[in-house]
Amino acid sequence: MGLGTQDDMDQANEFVDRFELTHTMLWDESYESWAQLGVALQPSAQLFAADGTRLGSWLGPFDDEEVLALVAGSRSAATSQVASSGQFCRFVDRFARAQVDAGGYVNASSDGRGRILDDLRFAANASEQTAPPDLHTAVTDLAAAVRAHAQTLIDAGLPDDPGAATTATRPVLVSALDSVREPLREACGTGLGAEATP
Amino acid sequence: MFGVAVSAVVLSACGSSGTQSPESAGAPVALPAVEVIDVTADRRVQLDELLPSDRPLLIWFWAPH
Repeated sequence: MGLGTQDDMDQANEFVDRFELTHTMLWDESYESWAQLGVALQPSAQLFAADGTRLGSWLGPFDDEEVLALVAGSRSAATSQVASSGQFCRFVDRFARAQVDAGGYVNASSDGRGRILDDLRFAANASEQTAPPDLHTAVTDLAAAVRAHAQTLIDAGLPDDPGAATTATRPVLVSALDSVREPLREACGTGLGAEATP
Repeated sequence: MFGVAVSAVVLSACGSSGTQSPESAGAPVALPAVEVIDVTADRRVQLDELLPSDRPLLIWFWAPH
């Protein structure tokens, strides 16, 4: 099943027609599905078992035989990526900049707050998708914490005083940042802020 | 809300299969509660209703450009 976003519906229809695609091709005009699933870069793929357990994820191409092996349970869950460390560090830098921009959350308009959260989620998800194996677990934890924290704020209606709405997710995010700050400084020379405000 | 995605780095579908590393399987994931458009069937679909299901689901993330 395809799940697309970006561009517009006419271009989505044109894409499906041009490549004569007949399998289910979904298109999300909001980008929200990608943000919540940890996707910032494409093409990429995620494989789920029938109960919803994520069995694998790929950035770039995926191998049919590997997918079938994962479904059959003959190999354990895996990630595959084609990104370079340079790409990863660019996204880490972008996350650091998004943290700085997030300092303006309180005084931003509702749309501006949404864009701030989108920037944080995009940079965190892209970092996760391109993370090298030795940093993958820590960066995955950070991205999950960013997504959970952003979702809390979105569900609360993007309040201008985010404190009360984020009592559960903020400590998790701060802890994830603490765990990854030094490894990312060593890998990319980028210093993340103490908190991903708001 | 969607402008940031437009600037995503588009990686080629061609090339090596890249590195492999283990990832804990973890608990079942709920798909986002987002209404999307089924382009091939011309109808709206609630994404979170697609899992759990009676079969595995491979989601390929694409963009028209």
